[in-house]
Amino acid sequence: MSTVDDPRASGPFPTNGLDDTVHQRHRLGILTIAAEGERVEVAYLREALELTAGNLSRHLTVLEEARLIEVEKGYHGRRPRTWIRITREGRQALHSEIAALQELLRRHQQTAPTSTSAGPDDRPLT
Amino acid sequence: MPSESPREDSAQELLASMTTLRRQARAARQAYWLPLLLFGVLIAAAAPLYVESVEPPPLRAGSDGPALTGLGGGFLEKSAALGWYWLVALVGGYLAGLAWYRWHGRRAGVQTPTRAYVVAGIAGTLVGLALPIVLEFLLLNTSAPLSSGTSWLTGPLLGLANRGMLPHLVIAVGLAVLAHLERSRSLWVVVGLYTVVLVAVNAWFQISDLQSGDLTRFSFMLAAMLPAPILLIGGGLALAAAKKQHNR
Repeated sequence: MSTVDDPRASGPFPTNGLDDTVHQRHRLGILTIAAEGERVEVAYLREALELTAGNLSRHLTVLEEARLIEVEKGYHGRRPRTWIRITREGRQALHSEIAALQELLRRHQQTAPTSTSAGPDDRPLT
Repeated sequence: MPSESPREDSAQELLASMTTLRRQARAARQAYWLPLLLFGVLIAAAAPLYVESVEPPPLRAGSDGPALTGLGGGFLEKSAALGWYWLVALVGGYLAGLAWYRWHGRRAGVQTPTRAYVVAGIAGTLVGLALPIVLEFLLLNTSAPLSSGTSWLTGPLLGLANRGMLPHLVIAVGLAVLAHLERSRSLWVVVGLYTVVLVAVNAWFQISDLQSGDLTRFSFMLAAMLPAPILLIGGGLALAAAKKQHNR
């Protein structure tokens, strides 16, 4: 019988749904920002995530090789600019990751009923 | 963001961090104040074309404009001029919106997907050109059951079109699509208020049993201008909020 006191009874543990390519904190941040717009400039990502150019480039390469993002190089005037665009697979992977994290949080709160902290979904987005 | 180990971060921390990043990116890319101000100004600038002359209606030289002036309505003295004005203003307004979002996206580093907004605006303009003809056909030329079955919708819509207010509806549709793309509750509120005023003004004309002489030469102008302040105030507030955020 399924009860809230027995998390094992409500399916596989949510960490099974976490993908290491996506779950890494900075890569998750890149996908989150990229999913918010049509495309995002690398300079914006570097500033928002407080990463060095080399570190960011390493994470972008991982995501591009996993086909979760596409990289577009171009110019604005004479200045070279690099934009990234999230792919359909990237959007799906991000949604799966969010669902897994929310499920993990839900189970954690069920097993620790004294916890009173609110989840991020309670916060307004705009 | 100090941790590099994927399992070290708790789910709650990660979700909170994602919410913050999403909120920041959204604030950086949102730029709907310009379309609101632009369409508010375009409505206000059309005011002289909605004013009737002092001559009594029978003395006016009435003329049917070409099909491209369909947005100007049939009740107004300057329908053809108003039709041309709105055709240019709507197409120009939506293309200017596209250019604005491209420029703003390059500057902010995050681009809003605006293709659907422009497509909705241009398609709405084309539908607005054809709609009066279709509505008149539905009301006057179809069999009685079909005509009476659809008159609850076609009647008020044709009234709105004849008063030269179809462009207002095209603007409402475009801004609703933009609110969806911008994921902005504030813009949804502005679009909602604008639509309520638009519907209320036209419902008043529809419900009132107006007799000859009840309307003044400024009545259609006042009706057409009433939704404009909502766009102007909404755009002004959004601009002030954007400047405040930029100065932080």
